[in-house]
Amino acid sequence: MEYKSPAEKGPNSQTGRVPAASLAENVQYMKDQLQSPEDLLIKSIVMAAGQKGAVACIDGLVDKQLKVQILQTLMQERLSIDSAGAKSNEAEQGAEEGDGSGDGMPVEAGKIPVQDARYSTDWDDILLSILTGDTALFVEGAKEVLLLGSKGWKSRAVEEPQTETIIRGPRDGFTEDIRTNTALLRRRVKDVNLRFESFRIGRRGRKDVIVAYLNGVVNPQLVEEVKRRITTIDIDDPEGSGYIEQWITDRYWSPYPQILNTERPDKVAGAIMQGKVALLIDGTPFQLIMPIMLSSFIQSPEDYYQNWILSSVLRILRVISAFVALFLPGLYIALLEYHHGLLPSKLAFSIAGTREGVPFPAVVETFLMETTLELLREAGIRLPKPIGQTIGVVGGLVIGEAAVTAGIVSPVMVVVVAVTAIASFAIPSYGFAVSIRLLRFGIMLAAAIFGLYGIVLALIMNCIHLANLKSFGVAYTGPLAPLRLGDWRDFIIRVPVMNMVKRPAILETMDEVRINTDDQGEKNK
Amino acid sequence: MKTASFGERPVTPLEMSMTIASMLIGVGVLTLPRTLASATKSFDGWMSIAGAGLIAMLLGALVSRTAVKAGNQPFLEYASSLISRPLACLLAFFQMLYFLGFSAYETRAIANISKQYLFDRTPVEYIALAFFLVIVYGVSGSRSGLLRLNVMFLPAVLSIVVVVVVFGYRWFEFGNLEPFFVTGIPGLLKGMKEVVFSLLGFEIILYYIVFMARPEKAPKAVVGGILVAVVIDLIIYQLAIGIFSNVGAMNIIYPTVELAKEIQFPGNFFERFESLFFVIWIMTIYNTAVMGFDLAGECMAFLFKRMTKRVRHLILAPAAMIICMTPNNLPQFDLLGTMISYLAVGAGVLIPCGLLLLSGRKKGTAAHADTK
Repeated sequence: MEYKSPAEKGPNSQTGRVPAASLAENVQYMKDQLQSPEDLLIKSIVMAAGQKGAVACIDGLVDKQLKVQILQTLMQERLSIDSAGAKSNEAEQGAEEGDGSGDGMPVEAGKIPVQDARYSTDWDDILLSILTGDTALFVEGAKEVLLLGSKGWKSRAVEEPQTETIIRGPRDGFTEDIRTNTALLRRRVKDVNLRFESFRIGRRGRKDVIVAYLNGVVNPQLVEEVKRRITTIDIDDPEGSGYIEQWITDRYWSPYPQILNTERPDKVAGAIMQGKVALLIDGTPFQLIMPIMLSSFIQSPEDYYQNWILSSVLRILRVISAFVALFLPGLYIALLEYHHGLLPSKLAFSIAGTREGVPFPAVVETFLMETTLELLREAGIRLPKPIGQTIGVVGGLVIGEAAVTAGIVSPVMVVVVAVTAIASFAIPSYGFAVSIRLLRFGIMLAAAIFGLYGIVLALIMNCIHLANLKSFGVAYTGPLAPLRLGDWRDFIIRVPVMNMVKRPAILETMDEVRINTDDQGEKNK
Repeated sequence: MKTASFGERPVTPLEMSMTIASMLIGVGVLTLPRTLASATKSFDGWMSIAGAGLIAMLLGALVSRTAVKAGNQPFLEYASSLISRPLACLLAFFQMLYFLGFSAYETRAIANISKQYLFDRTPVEYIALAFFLVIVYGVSGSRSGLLRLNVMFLPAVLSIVVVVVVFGYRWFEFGNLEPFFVTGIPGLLKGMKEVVFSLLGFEIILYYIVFMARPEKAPKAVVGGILVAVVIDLIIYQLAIGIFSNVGAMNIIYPTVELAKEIQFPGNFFERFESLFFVIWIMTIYNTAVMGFDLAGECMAFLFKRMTKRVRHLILAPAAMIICMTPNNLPQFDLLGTMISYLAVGAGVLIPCGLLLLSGRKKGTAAHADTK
């Protein structure tokens, strides 16, 4: 791999330290380094040829069956070992220092029944391998150590994603195990050009990160940029995808997410097929997709599984819901405080009638209710699931009703708050919905100061920010501005599948054509 | 962080047309039916609009020819190569004054109209200040971001015009348009002058052409943009005369906004649509003002090469605010508008066209010298 992570060597690195020829010394060193924790298993063995050896691994990270197999193979006659310790030729490549033949590993890697086995003479490497679930074999008199891949631990089964539920579409979701996740992706994209490039990030945490993309489709500059940004990450432990997202994002002070996170393999597969890049991160079911545009937030994978008319209408509905979630409370303030005249007179009278006993101006009322709502939401998330729903119902209905009866807020206010909340739930992306919740308060403030004029100024500022925003070099407001009319086929309206001939032009992919329109059936690349 | 450059594809001709259109659609359209109605009789103003549109398109094509000639170098650098640097500095100064004045004028107009239609108690100064702060926020971002902003806002503005037209025709009386062809030539010319003034602003192509992927398409793009503005002027004018009649339009300060007031939706959902109309219109006026301010900064950068963008804006913003607040009443405000328009004609249109002539002659002599 040409990209070396700066965090390749950990802080407790013993650069250059090599195992000694003595078995006892090696075992002791390993015990010292790890302070012989309870889960470190070291088993001394006597191999078939009579040599002494030791096998070390971490309990719980190794596949028990595989380990038994390894031990059996080592201890049974089947393994012929040259007593001189000379290795077979094919193993020579793994050991540059093996020229003093007495120091070499007498056990041939090819004869152990595990998928991957390699030689190592670097203590850092050996210890890290043990800590990630490999089994190390030490043999008396050998300076080399054989590392046997025996990873296998308890991981959550593939389940339906919790955060992005859809009605029609695959039900599997990513898990915390990166291997399962790559498998889920491979099962969807059976293209030979699907590339996984792995990185190990974090000085102490050592997280595996895989850059996944479709070679020959994705713009190579984009892949280079993603890899470059990943290699800049130098942190002790990037826990979860959130750390990595924040580190590599274009503008970290923007309220808008510039990288999409998802639990759905079909979403990632679709993005990769479009010419985007995905990051698979070990230890979290939330994988990252980049670059994205604002329009990505109103699109759901379901749109592609359903009838195109229905999907288009739903997308329009989501756009409306985003606007409602952003502007409705602000509009309420503006209309009541500044522009009564804008409302139809009957409605204005009825609102004024219901606000009769309310002691606060509309601004205070709105801030009060919106804050209460956010409070309820936060409480609902923190509480255990069954109680959380109760809080939602109790909070929403009872507090709202009681507040109206007590004359603190007007019934119209409760309606406004409820509609705003529902509209914000209709947005498919949680990250975007959170941004909108945040900005809503800004809009409310602007409305409180300048009414409709304030709202439009806030909208303009928002649009300037969006127009300047980029996600990995791709304009965030595309394909609206810069105008790419070809990309409007899959923007707010999704045209029938047969008409989505090209990949998004704004991504500048290498292979633009998705649908073969050539009658000859020859795909021209 | 460095970003990949592949997403930064320059502006297409269509986007440039949209930019020009959003520059031209500004405050002018809001008062146009009044100024035109005072200059012409009955519905004859349409001839003024058509004539002025043709003139503007011709001038636009000429100015953009100059911009094309400049090639990849900034317009002012090109000008200084033609007419020496001191003269180019003078030109830059006048253009800076013009763009700054333009921006300030639009802001004052926003403040005036907002005071009339949105709030009656808030002082004009605060309304203008808020607007100015947003302008400064806008220009502190990237310049291609501003161009993208145009593309985002123009559709909203065009659709609100469509709404006004569709729902406004209920009150349209054809009798108001009659009789035809009654205005004399002087009246028409006077009307044309007003329309040309409202169509000024296409000079921005001189500066924004560097963003175009294919600069040779600039003349077409500019003419297209002017055409959009002219069509909108025509539509609004005929609607205003058809609804208010000539005399009515003459006596309304902002006839276009009043047009929106006449609209009633089925079910009376919006009682006073003109507030909403004006609020949407603020977006296009903002585009006009922010581009003006941005280009004023650009001209200043030519004058003071070592000044940073932040310092430039810190100097320009209070200056614009002072210009904006100078007129005390409507006649003075109109006078400011006229002055800026003359400045625009001089610095923005005539001098670039003169440069075009000059460059043609220089090239001619150069070619002549080559043949010798």
